[in-house]
This record gives sequence, C-alpha cells and structure tokens, in this order.
Amino acid sequence: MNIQQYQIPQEVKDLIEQYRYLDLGSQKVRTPYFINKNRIRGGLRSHVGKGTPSELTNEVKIYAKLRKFDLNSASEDEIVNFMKSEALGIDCSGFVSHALLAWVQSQQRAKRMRTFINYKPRNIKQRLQYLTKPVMNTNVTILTNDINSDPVKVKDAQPGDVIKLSGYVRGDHIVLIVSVEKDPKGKVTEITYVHSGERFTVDNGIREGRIEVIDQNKSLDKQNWLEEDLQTGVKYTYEGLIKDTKNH
Amino acid sequence: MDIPITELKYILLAFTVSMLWAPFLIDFLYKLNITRQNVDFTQDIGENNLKLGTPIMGGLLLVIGISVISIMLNWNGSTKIPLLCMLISALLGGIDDLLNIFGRKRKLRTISKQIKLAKIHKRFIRRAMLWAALPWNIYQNIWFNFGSYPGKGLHAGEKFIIQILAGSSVAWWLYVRLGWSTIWMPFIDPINLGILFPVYVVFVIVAVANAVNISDGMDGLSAGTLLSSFWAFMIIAIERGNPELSVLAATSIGALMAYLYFNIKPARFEMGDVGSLAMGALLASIAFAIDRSILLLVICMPFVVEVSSSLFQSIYKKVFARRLFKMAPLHHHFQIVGWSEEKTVMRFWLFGILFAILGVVLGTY
Repeated sequence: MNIQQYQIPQEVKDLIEQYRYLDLGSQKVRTPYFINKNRIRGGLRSHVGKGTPSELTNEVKIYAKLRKFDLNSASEDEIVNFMKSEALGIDCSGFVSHALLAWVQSQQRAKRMRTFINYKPRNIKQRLQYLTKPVMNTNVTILTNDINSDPVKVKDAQPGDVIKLSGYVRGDHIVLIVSVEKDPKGKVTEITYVHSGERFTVDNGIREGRIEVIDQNKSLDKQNWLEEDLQTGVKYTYEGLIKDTKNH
Repeated sequence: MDIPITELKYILLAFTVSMLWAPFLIDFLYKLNITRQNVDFTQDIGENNLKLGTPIMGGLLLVIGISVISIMLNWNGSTKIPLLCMLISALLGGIDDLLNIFGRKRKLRTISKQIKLAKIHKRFIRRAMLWAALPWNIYQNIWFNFGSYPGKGLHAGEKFIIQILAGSSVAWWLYVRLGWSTIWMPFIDPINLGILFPVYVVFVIVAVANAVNISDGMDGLSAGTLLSSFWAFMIIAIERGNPELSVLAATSIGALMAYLYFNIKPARFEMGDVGSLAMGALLASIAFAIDRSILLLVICMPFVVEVSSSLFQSIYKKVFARRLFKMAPLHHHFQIVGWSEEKTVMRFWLFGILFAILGVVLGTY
C-alpha cells in the first residue's frame, strides 16, 4: 500500500529536536513546559517561556554556575526540576512561534516574526513591543485569530498547520502539525503533531502526539487522539479536556 | 624629565601611614559588624560566597589617609576642590554602605498608586504631601524602569543627585572661578563648550565615580586598576608642571598600594561605595584640574568597558529580552565563562596599565 507522508522541512525538525534534547554538555534534556502565569514583564524571554534552545541552554548553564548545580552529575529529572525551579522552559505558543519562524526563515520568505504575523498594535507602546520583542508578545490568540490564520478541514490538513485547543484551565493550547499521512486515495489517515504540553505527570514539555483519523470529513474532536502519559498510561484525547477544536 | 623625588616621597609616606593604621580599621569594621551581607545574587558566582562576612568600607583607609595627608601637607588652591569632591562622594558612599547593612528594605510606590492615594486620602495635609511628592515618585520610577530596584541602601536617583552635587563643586571651580570652558584634545585644537562645560564636568565626574563603583566586584580589581590610572595622571601632572596635583595623585597611589596589600584575594576588607565613589570622583577631578579630562576615556578604559557592559546589557535586555553578555559587568561574564577571579583581575590590571601608558603618550600631544 502506498502511503504518502507529508512532513515539515528539515530545519524545523532540527529546531524541534533541539528543544526536545537541550545540549547541556554531557546531558541531553527535554525542555520542560513553562508558562508565564505571573505575567512577569520586562524579563528575559527565556524566563517567560519564549526562549530559543540556545538561549535556554545558556541560561541553564549560567544558573547552574550561580547555584552550584552540577549538570554533569545530575540526572535528567533533576535537571528538569532545576530548570522548572529557575523558571526555564517553553510554553506552547513560544514553541510553535519559534517553529513557524524557523520554517519561514528556511524558505527565505521572512526573517522576523513581525513579517508574517500581524499583531495589530493599538498604540505606540505596543507597536514598539511587537517590533523589538515579537515572540514574547505572541500567544495562541494571535497565532490563531482571523487575521493570521484560516480554518481548514481535517481532510485538508497539512504540516505547518496548527491545532488550537480551547477550554484548558490556563487558557488555550496550541499544537503544530508536523506530518500528515494519506492513503493512496488521498484520504488523511494520521496526523502527527508536536507541542509543549503541560498536562503530563512526568514528561511534560516538548512532546509528540498522534491523531488517528477515522473519518476525515468529521471534525478533529471526532477522531482518535493517541497521545499517552508515560507514567499513568492515560490517553490525552480531546474528550473531557477540551470544549472545542479548530485546526487552523 | 627629572626623577620626581617629591612625588615618590609622598607615595612612601601615604603607604606607610595607611599600612600602620589599616589593621586598626579592619578591627574596627569587624567590631561594628560592617561586613558584607547576603545582598545580591552575585555572591553565588564562583567563590563569591566566601566573601560573606568580609568587612566593607575599607575605602575609609583611602579617604581618610589621602584627606589627612593632603590637608596637613598639600592644602592649596589646586587641591581643595578635588578633595571636597572626594569627601562629598565618600559621604554619599558611606551612607549607602551603612544603610545597606543596617537599614530596612524600602519599597517604591508605583506612580498610579501614588496618584490614587493622593486623590482619595481622607486627610488634606496628607493629600497635599502626596501630590507634592509625585514628581519625586515619577523620578524614582524612571530609575526603577531602567533596572534600579529599591533595596536597603540609597536609591539610584538619590545617589545621582548627591553625585551631581559633588561634580558641581568641581564644575563651579573650573567654570566660574577659573573661567575654563574648553576641553583639551590630542592632535587638534581645544573644543570650546561654553555653557555646556559645567554639564560636561558633572557628567564625567558622575560617570567615572559610578564606573569605579561598578568595577569594584572582585578582590583587587578596582584598586589595582585605579593604581595605574593615578600613576598616569601623576606623570601627566608632572609633565604639565602642576606639582600640587601630582603630589595629590602620588598620595592616592601610596594609599591605594597599602589598601591593595589587604585587598588582594583573599581580601581582608573591601572598598565599599565609600571608597569607590570617592576615588572615582577624585580621579576625575584631578584629570579636570590638569586639563586632561578627555584622557579619562583612555586611561580609565577598564572602567569604561565595565560600565559600558552594564549599560548595554541593561538596554539590550530591556529592548530585546535577551542577554548581550552572559552577565554584566564584564568581570562577571568572564567568571561565568570560566576564568578564575585571579586571572580576571590580573588581566584587567594589565589592560589598565596598557591604556594608562597609551593615555600618557596621548597626553604629550
């Protein structure tokens, strides 16, 4: 059977890999989830869940030196806990923003976020903020609003599309589709996505999930979501967790 | 150039006097518990935490030593104002050091809260006072937005005003009493600043004082670098035929050498703001008094680099939410990168000597 798989560019895969395994010398550690719930402003973007892998790596090394935390002898879990204690991690929209930015940069279509995301600043202060700190001011709402995205049906899903999940305790969530499988007839059979997810006991942070498409003519909430918590075995499907799904 | 015997004698005198009473000062600081407290995150870098409990305000050795010797033996029209500037800066620094140890943490009210209180407070007198204090509150909030967080000591805005006062004494002396308004420049004609000259003087004195203050973050760093700077200005003062100021610089060198003896790692005491602000102000005042202020940019290059790194880091973080250096000032960046404290300090000393030599050479043009 000739299955067609459509994937994201290699540059984006490389970025996701860098987030998935931060290079901390002798250790490679998955970037944990972090969200700026206290709305701290004016700090480094790596401290508000919006840093790049290299920025996060640098901050971990700086803080390891400051706190005399031995990165070489610590386990992955200890390092992840250390990162969380120092507010170092990535949130869902920060991760997707950097992935999309890597994509458009690899295609040489844009160099900066503000070139392909319309922020609609309401005043000069916001205009300056979006000009100098675009990623820090990007969130799920901006990425998935009517100005910056169009809704698509499941059967038209492509790598690079995002899925917005509403109804979480802390607001909306966003995942990035990285590959779409289609059968020889062109029907979508599986969607693979990556995200920085919070709702997992031991392995929150950068994760990959799959959606088994049962009927591509139905909405995503009617499909079979397969992402599983390693510790509890609970499958984090849409049911019971979200009220609405749109893929943009 | 003849051997500057007078200056060498003053170096020896200041060194000897300072060495004799330094142990008593150290003892005095310990007794009053004027020691480094657990105040900021830089103590976690390298072995900085070992400095907890080290006496600060060791700069008193410099300030008192230089003042006493100069007042007794070198008190004249050329040295009065630089010494006054030094003493005002030392007073400011001393108050800040003491407040940082014994004071309470002060909070800063936001502008909106200040206005709200001024509108709703039930007592008229209190409302009037709150409104009257609003400009000061705005001024302090501006400093806060530039990264100056209120702690126990004086706020940055408060320090700035007193430093302006110190700088103004020199500006008044040069512009009003002596009628100076030009800046000497190497290779080209002096630049006439006119009415802006006093502004320039105040700005430079405040900048140099703060630069030395910011650089005082490792054992021996600022003292060793100040030594080469004072040496350079002593030589320039001799070459310019200004014996009073060359002797003042020599006195400073002698006192600094004695201070450095106790400040080399592991330091027996630290300069504190009382010393760093005072010595920075004195250095700048001497440079102005011999009409070679522009050479501060070259001779004090290590301090310029340190303060610039802090400034650029602050601006870059604010604007782009990213680091420019791993940490600022620059000596912390080298520590984070892996240089030992001794290596960092000695390289800064070398850097200082090189630029001091360059400054002296430029001063001859």
